[in-house]
Amino acid sequence: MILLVVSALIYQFKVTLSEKKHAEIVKKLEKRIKTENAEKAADTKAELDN
Amino acid sequence: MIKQYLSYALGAFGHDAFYATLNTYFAIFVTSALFVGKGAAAEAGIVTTMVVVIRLIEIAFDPMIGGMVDNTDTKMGKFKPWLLAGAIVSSIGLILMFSSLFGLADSNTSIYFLVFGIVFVIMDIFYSFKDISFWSMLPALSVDTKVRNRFGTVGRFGSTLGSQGVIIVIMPLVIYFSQKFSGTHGDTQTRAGWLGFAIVIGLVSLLGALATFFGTKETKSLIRQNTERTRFRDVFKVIGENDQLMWLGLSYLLFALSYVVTNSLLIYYFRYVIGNSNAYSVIGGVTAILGIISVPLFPIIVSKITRRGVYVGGICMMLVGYLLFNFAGDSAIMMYIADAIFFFPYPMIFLAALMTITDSVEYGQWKNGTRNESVTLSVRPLIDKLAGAFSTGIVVIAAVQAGMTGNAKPSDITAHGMFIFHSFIFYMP
Repeated sequence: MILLVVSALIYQFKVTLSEKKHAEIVKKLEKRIKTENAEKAADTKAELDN
Repeated sequence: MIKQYLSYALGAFGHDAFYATLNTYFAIFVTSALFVGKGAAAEAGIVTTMVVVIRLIEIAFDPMIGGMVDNTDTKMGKFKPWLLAGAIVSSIGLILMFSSLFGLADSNTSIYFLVFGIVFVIMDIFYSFKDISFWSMLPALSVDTKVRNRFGTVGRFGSTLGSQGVIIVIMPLVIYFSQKFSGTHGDTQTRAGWLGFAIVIGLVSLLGALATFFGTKETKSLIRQNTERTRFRDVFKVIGENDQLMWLGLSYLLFALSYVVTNSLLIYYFRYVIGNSNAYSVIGGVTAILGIISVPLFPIIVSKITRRGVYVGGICMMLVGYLLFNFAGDSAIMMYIADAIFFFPYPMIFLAALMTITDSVEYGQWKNGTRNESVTLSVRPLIDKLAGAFSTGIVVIAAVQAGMTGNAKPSDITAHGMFIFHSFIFYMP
């Protein structure tokens, strides 16, 4: 009973990665990777132009 | 999508049928069919000790196996080559384990132990590759939590049927093949009978893996392409820097330990507190039926009360089960009711934890910049194996300290012994 209560408390207060938060992270990741890819593409283009 | 769900479930079915055979029935084969006669107990002891030690050492390699899967890049994707190789080699290994290794077990036991050790190490490594590549496909099959929930649920449903199925078919199969291969009559079990059983299970595991191999599809999304090679010395860093994975891991370790310790000590409760070890067998039936009901309910319940609701609410229900255990005394019926309440939420809590780990792949990717699917997912089997190993030790200590060994009767257990036993089976977990 003791280990189980501690386990529940940790999940309740320390595990903040909910379904909602995960969906937000996926959106942010997609955006970040798109920007990075666009920047890389721009860099390559700049190098080619030189 | 239905095809993908079904193929994943079939893979899990074969995988857990294999695991149950390895985990529960190999020891029975060794003690009841492989070594009989003079010196059998010592020989069986050596084999089972080798199995325990090798498996303990293997635990530490799980994240590295995950790292190797993560670093794989082939036309078939990164999981499938390992899944297939793991299935083929582990099935051959299982079949060899359930044999006398071409007569060595009789002619030269020292060489038998040596060859067995080699076969078992290879089998265990390839089994772990299969285990990790199979379950770490979850984050690759979809990034959508709802779809992941469904894959996790059908997978778990397949595993439940697989491990429960072995319990049902094992004795009929062993006896059937004993009659077929050794020409015995009635219930006699022979080595050839066990070998026939192992061949069937090896084939089921391989066919399940083939279903997953051909039936599932790794998604190719922008997010999944954002990977870098992970060096071996970095795999533990990848896990350590993912704080959500670490907190979930700690919580799940305590949960798993609690469940496994209580579950393993229940048989002692029936034998030494109630004084009726036969009554224990009902527990297996209760959990088999409840498991089959509980798993499919997960996606419905989780969509209403969220993962945290399932995890924390499920634990509250298990605590009610513990309270009832405490009032059960020597009533077997009360123990069944308490165990039903205690067990019912267990598969759903497992799935809630599995889904949190799966989603922590993207959390780690967001936080640390690299995506590690298999390293992250390898944490779950690692914790389950650790909990299993700890609990084996705890169970032995509990039984000895409480005086519940050999042919002790319920009346022999002192009040102090009973308090110690209650502490180990109920209060501490």
